[in-house]
Amino acid sequence: MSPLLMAALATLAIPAGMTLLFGVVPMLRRTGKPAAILSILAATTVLGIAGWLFATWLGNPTESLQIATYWLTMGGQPLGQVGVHLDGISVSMLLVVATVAWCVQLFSLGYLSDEPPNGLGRYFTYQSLFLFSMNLLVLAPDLMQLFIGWELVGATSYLLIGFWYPKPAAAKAAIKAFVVTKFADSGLILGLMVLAVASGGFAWDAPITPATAEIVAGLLFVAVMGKSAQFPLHIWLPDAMQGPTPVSALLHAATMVAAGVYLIVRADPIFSAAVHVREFMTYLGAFTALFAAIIATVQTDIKKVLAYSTCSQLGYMISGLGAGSLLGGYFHLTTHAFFKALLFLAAGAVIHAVHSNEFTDMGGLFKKLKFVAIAFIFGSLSLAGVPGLAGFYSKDLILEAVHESGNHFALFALLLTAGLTAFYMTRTVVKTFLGQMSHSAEHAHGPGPSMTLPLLVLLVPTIALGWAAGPFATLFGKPYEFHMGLVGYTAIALGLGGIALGYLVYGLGALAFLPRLFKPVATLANSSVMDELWQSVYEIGGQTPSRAAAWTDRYIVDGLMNFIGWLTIVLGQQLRKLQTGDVQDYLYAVFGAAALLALFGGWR
Amino acid sequence: MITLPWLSITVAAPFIATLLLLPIPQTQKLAMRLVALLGAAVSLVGALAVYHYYDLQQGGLQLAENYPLVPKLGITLRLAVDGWGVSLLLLTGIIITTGVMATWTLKDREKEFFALLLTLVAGVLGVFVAQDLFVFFLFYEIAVLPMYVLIAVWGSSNKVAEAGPFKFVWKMFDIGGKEYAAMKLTIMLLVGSAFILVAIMAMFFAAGGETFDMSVLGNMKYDLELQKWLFPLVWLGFGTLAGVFPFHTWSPDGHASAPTAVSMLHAGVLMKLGAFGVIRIGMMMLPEGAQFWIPVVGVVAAINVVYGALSAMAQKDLKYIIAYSSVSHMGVVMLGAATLTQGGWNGAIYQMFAHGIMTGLFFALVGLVYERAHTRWVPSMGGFAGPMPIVALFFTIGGLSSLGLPGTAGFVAEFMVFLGAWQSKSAWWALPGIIGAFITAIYVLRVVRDVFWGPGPSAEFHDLPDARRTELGALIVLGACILIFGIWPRLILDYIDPCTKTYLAKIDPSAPTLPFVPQQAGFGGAGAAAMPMHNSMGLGRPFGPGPGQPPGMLPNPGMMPRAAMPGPDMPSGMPRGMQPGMPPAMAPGMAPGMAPGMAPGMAPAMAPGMAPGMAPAMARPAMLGPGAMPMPPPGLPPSPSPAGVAPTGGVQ
Repeated sequence: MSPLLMAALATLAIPAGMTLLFGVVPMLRRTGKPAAILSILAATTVLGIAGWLFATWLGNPTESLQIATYWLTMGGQPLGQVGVHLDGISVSMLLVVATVAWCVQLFSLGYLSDEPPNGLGRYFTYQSLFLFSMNLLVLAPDLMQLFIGWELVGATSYLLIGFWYPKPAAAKAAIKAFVVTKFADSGLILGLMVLAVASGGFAWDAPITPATAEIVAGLLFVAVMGKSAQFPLHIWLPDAMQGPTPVSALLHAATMVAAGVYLIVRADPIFSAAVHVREFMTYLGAFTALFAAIIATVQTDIKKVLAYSTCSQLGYMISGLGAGSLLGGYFHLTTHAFFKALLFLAAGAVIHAVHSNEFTDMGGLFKKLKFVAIAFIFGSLSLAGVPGLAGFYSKDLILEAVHESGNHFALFALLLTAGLTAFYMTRTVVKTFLGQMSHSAEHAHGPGPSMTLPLLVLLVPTIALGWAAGPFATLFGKPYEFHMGLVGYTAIALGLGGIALGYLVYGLGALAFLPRLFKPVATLANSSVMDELWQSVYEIGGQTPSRAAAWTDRYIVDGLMNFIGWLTIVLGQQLRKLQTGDVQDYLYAVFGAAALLALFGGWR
Repeated sequence: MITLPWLSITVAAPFIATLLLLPIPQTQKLAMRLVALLGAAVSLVGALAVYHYYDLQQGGLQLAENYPLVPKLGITLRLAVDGWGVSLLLLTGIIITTGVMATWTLKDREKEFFALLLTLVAGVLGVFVAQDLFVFFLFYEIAVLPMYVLIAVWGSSNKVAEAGPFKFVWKMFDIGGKEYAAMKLTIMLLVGSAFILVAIMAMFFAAGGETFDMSVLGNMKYDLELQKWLFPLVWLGFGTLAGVFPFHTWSPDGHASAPTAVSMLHAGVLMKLGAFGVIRIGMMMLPEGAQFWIPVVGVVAAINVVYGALSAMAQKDLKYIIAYSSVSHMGVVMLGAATLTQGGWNGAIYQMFAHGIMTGLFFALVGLVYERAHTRWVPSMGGFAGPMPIVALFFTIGGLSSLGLPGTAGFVAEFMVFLGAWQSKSAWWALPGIIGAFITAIYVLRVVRDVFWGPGPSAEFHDLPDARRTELGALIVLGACILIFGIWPRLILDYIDPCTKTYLAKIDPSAPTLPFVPQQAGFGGAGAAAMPMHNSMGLGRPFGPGPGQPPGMLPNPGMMPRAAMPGPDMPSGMPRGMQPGMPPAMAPGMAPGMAPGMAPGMAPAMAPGMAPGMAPAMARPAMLGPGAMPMPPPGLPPSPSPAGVAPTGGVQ
């Protein structure tokens, strides 16, 4: 077997082995810190392998390697492959996942230092399980394995959101996240079935007619909407912030939520045949981007701002993919993974310092947490699309593609989003790091080295990845040439304008009417309307029929059985009276019967 | 090598253990437990031996043993096992062993309890290997009857009074009481048995009254009218035990009242007897009747899935939740059976296995919680994960399997059933299945939250020790099985699949199949694909380029455009099932190795029915052109004879 494939298999085996080890050796898990270090070492190995594979593929971008065996049989026919598939896409995604996972695990060591050893061990067990599941998803040779990984990362997300399970809000958020995404995943199951029945397998490039492709792509996209938090299935993502902040960085910003985008990139042969689905994607992605960006402008919780921002940026990617820019969507996934993970981890450092998520407990932290502030500001600038930073290049690709596709609504919404993004990120920076220091900020303490190092590592791609767009594109086999069009200049202008406006409003206190102008729109968008809508769907579609079914079962279906039983008893009791025990009665009966028979015989 | 009569050993071990238990004095509690555990463990070992000795290449019925019982009536103790039997024996062995382990600390009349339990299990094991209809029914009754005593004596009554205007109904019948539950269960199942008996007698006499041999009775062409009224009898008779709506109502009350090991066995294995009976007797021996009634069977199963899940969602008693989830999951089994497709039947048998393990785990856990908390009332619980992390962990594993998470056995089963349903004539049957799985996700996760998560536990639960010793052992075995058979389903799917294929071809030659995919591209070189499909346990499959394939990089495998592949058109007269088993990579030089690659039961069908020129066509790469989607309809009749019986031991 090729050493490359062996190494790729090791990226699955190592975290899986860690999970198993922690699972079956509770003594080790309960030691806490040693278990954590072991897990981080495993993640380091995975990172090393991913780096090596990536370097190999940079040298030979069109290479494609696969090793797989079949998972199911259906009448002797193999069905569904499991194994690893290596090509430019999976190898680069593997590196993204490995890098962010490594950073997050290391960061968690500092972030969760107050956690009891038992809890820490449990946390790193989940982290290892997540790394395994995500690698399984990334390296999938066909949709079957991708689906397995897809569901497993969902389960890990459930476990990690509910990590602080005694907290009712966390327990609720965990269930909500799982149930909403599971609901959406029904689409993926159906899509797999349609695909299997149409083509006999789950291959990305299954030979299916365009009509079938539309159906399959549409069904797959339902699952993508759940996992990548697209309107109206985005409702679980903000609640998911109940989990520890490093978890939010890894799962709910950088990797897991991007799995939907990855699915579309992988299943491109199916999606590119589905014209209508892609058009829908362009619209929905743009709408979600704008919608979430508006909500993000009024949040007072630093994690919620970032959560809605994630929604918004995922909308960007989906819209770009819909417009046909595979490279744009995927490149934005990559850059976003790095800068959003950086933002979340920096926010985590802030939260760790002030023990609160609220802006009111922050402010003026620049003096206390210099490096964190710098990291956060760079992340924000990259997100805002400031020229030269990574986010700018990937965003530009998407905007160009949407522009070329001629979808004016989407282009307008995305451009507006670009401005809003710059605006709300400036607001966040100002409220967190500048201005008046709050009481709890006074006592803020700086992060330890295990928390600063990941920030430093993530800072590099946040700044520089955009310059590597050329080599990155070769992994796709696509040409990349940087050029600035009208759209690009507009985006720059809007981004810089947003920053300036944000600073004017929140930093200098000018233009006070502006936030008020925003208020009604944002309040409407921010209110729990969507949550309540889904809640009533659940009550009407779930609770009520459920109570009706239980009632029917107890009193109608079971009642029928009980009635039969009761009838038998009552009849028996009545018939029993015939058996009086008197010989005379029996004789009467005998003679009576004889007489009747004689009569009957005579009459005939 | 001496071959032991493994089937007799497996079935007889619990019986013998029962006999051994009887003379042990009541005070020797440990001895009783050990004997019970030994009996169960020998069954498990026997089942594992059967798993090991069953020859996948040969397929069909194997390890046959025949002992004449009543020659005059044609009653013979015929034991033999097929691929389905192997997996179900394994399930029963696992459940009984863990069941005994989970009730290790029982404190009341242990001897009688274990004796009855083991008798029951012997009956279950017998049903799965009986090849004589009379013996089948005999074992079935042995399995059903001890339940009455087990529930009525060792059961528990629900102490929470129902409020509301319908309180009087509860009082009137003593609903929730263990006597009520035991009585209802027994009466309903016995009424079902009466139906079955009528059907069995009708088949026996219609076939000439010579023999009860199931292969003879099964190959008989019964009159269509006879089949049409016999099938519902069999369906409802066995279906009552399988929890078919609306005859499932014994199940929630019965499972809620039963003691731990009995719930485990009853929901884990006994309900499977019902579904197994419907498939084995109803669908396979009365195929035309089944075809006629299948729309009804499928719709009722679809109702089962959704209705059971919805009912489970509204329950507040922990045992009732699990019991209703069994109703829902058994609906998935029946739904799979009703599809009459490869996927559906594979899924149905796999779901029997998966649900058996899963529900066994659930009831073991619920028993543990009940024993410690002395309540089953979910709203009063909370925060149990603190004092009982192990129980919480295993409950989560069971729950994830229940909602069909990939990586657990439940997913494999449900996925195949949905796929089968989607392929079948009534594609919409897949939807209730998916809806049911989704509702399951809601209520299972809610139970996990309400019982184990959240703040707590409150002061009334002062002593909640975690699972210990044998209990822990039982949980580990069951939890590990869920994961192992979820991660590598082919461990038993390789047994189930060929068996399903042979049987299905017999009853429904026009069952839809998946379009054929040339597999050589997908499997990392010819290695995996060139291997015969059914030759071994599946684990030993090489994970990479096989022999004859240069090691190292294979340029662009799996991404080769289909259109570029050469391929003569598939001869349309090829027997069904020939194509899927024939990866084109086998072609060069594979001719000698072909026989093992073919599905079991194919070989006899090929020789007489094959058109001249067929063999060369098969030796060439056989694949569809890129444009051809559906399978060509089978031109040849399906395999005319059932797979041969290969006796390996026992008295002939």
